Amino acid sequence: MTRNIIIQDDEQIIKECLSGNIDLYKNLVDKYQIRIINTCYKYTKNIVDAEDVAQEVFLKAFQNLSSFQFDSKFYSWIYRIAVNTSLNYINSKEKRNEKETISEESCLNIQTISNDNPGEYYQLNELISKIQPLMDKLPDDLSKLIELYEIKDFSYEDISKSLGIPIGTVRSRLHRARNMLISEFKSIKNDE
Amino acid sequence: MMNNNYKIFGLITSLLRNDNPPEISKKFSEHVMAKILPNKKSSDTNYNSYLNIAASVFFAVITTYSLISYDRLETNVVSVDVLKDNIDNENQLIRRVIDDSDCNYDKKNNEVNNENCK
Repeated sequence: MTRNIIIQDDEQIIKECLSGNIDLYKNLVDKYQIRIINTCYKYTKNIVDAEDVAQEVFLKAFQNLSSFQFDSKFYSWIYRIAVNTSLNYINSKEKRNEKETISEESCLNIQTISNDNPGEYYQLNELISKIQPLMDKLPDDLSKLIELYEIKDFSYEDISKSLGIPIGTVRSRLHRARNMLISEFKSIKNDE
Repeated sequence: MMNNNYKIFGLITSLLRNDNPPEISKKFSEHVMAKILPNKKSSDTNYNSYLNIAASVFFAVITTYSLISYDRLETNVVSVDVLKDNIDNENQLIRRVIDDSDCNYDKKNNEVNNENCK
């Protein structure tokens, strides 16, 4: 049986953060950390640097949360911050490289930082094969909603128009789909 | 209570989008929050400092104003002119009362031949 798991919308979390409940910001970090680190990783080509830049991204986003316009998705907004921060990082690194040449040995040292502590890292590539079966277990209408909202970044209004169902129904079905995905994931992790 | 649901849901959606690095630190979000919370605490501390300074200035102004007002009040009370007038008036009053008493006394005791009471 699926337990009722509450996953708040980003807008609700942001409003609560702005009213002083800043601990809830962790939920946004938890939700988007992998995507933001990956965005930074595409620029830095190094996971340790990518995490440092991503930390700066989440910090900047938090400091400017009051300027967030609720007409766009939080992820689109923080994604722009991530791209800009990564570009700034690359530019500053290039300037540093003009002054001091990084030796091949120092590059190897950076690589070994993450490999020295395998217990402190999630190996994500190992999990990919386990995720798609979770989607296959969902009813068709719910997996379609997850695909449109979470993967193709459609808004509630767009989904409502394209599927011909009220926005309230879109929200409630998405809520049910998220609950089912999380419960299924927990059950396969418990089985291991 | 720690809420892992956001972490799990973020993981699922990232992998479904093929938008993930090969590995990430298990404590990433804790590190971010550790950077955010001291910032918040220090801004709270700054706010409290400003509040303390404002309160000190407020009480200093109130105390100074009270002392100046009291000093002016004291100066008015000890004013030489007012004191002199009062004393003069009081003396006149005393004199009149004494005079009246004399008159009454004389009236009672010497009703017929008191020239002062006519």
